Amino acid sequence: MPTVTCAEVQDLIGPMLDGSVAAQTKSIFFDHIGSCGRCGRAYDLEYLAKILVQSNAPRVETPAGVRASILRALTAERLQAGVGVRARGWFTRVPAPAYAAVLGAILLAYLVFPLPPSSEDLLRHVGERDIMTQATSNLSLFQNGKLIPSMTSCSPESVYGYLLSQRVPFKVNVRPIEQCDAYSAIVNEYNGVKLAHVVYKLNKDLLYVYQVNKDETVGDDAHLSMPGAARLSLKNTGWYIDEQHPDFNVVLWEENGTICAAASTLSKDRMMAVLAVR
Amino acid sequence: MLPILLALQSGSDRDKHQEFESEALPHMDLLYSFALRTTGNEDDARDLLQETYLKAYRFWDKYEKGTNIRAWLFRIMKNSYINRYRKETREPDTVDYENVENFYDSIRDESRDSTDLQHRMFGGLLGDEVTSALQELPDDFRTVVILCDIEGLTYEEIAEFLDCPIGTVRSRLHRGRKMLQKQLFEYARERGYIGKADGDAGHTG
Repeated sequence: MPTVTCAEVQDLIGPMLDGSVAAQTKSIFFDHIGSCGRCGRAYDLEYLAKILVQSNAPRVETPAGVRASILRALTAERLQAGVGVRARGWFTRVPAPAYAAVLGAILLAYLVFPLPPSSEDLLRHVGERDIMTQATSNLSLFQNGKLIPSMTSCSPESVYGYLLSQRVPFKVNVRPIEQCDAYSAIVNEYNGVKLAHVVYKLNKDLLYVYQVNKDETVGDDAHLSMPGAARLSLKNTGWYIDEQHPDFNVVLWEENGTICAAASTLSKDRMMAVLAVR
Repeated sequence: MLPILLALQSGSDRDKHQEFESEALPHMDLLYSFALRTTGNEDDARDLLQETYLKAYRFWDKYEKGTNIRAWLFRIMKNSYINRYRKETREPDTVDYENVENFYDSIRDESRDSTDLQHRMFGGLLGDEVTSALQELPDDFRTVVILCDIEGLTYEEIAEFLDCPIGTVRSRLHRGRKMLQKQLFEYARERGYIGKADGDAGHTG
């Protein structure tokens, strides 16, 4: 029978425990540690530590909240990358001397303005002024009967007529939707800004659309706000889907100079299908 | 697909995003688990995981299709961890192991049942204490112990992850486990789970 040294056996302890040793070597290995106290002890201790780690520090799955935050960060990254790609395309068409002026402008911008927001900042909703926060809050109030519509009708034309009569200073969008049981509308003011709200009742579901003039959301002193990611997405595509609301699906889009924020109990696919109707 | 959804993405953006999602996201559990064991807390693990995925997304065009995506992602995480968290640690020249061996010799003959032996040797150490003991290991040694004993990777996979020879994996694993045994033994002794004096086989855990 072949013999092995203690040094060789000690080198084999790890591979033996991890299952990467041939059957013949195993037999030689165990013959040795059966008669060698020092090697037997080394094997036992390594084995005991390994099973202690495996039983007390098991592999963990990614928590749902962490997974969601990664997906949000990737979405924001994609939106930022889209802007970057367009900027690079512009640079390739601009003559070289213009770079100096552009670089100077960028340097000045860094000196005058704060650094660009992080991915998380881009997704952050800021307080009560946030359009999507207002939309989800209003839908909750509507569900609980705390927000009473000024008028309700089975006809979208009637709702549209009512909104016109209220002299809303922007174009309000009302969609005729098949299977819509009732259309409701409210016009009010928030911090001096005129708002229009249209609610569609579709069987047991509600689709609420908050509408405001786009100009009221632009600039540092605007009365209303939205997350940076939404602003970027609106600029690039005209649409933004907010993934941060557990109870409702929330979509933002721009139409005829009006910013519309929809919150709904409908599934996302159904909501998109309904909103696609023009 | 609905016109609205189409409007949200340009074609190449969408392709890249879908490809990244289908190839990289399925390995999130492996990366998160490693990040948690490496950093020792959930907040840092989440930050490290996010940084890893954002970097991988930005450099997706550098990934060679058909190669080991898990190894690629892991290397990004390892580099991010080094840049962000690692403090300078000096690798110990030798592990003072005598106390561990002496103690084991004193209890070995009382039981050959591994569960009982484990309890006598390391007391009732629980998850947090084992995680803390892992934290005490130098980075290179902790990494191989986590990848082998917790993640269940083969030596070949670990070598590919770390871009080093299999022999290096074996030797780091052997030394890392020895350091870990010593650390676990000391934790158990400090917490009174096992006798304080060498050779005292009494335990309270």
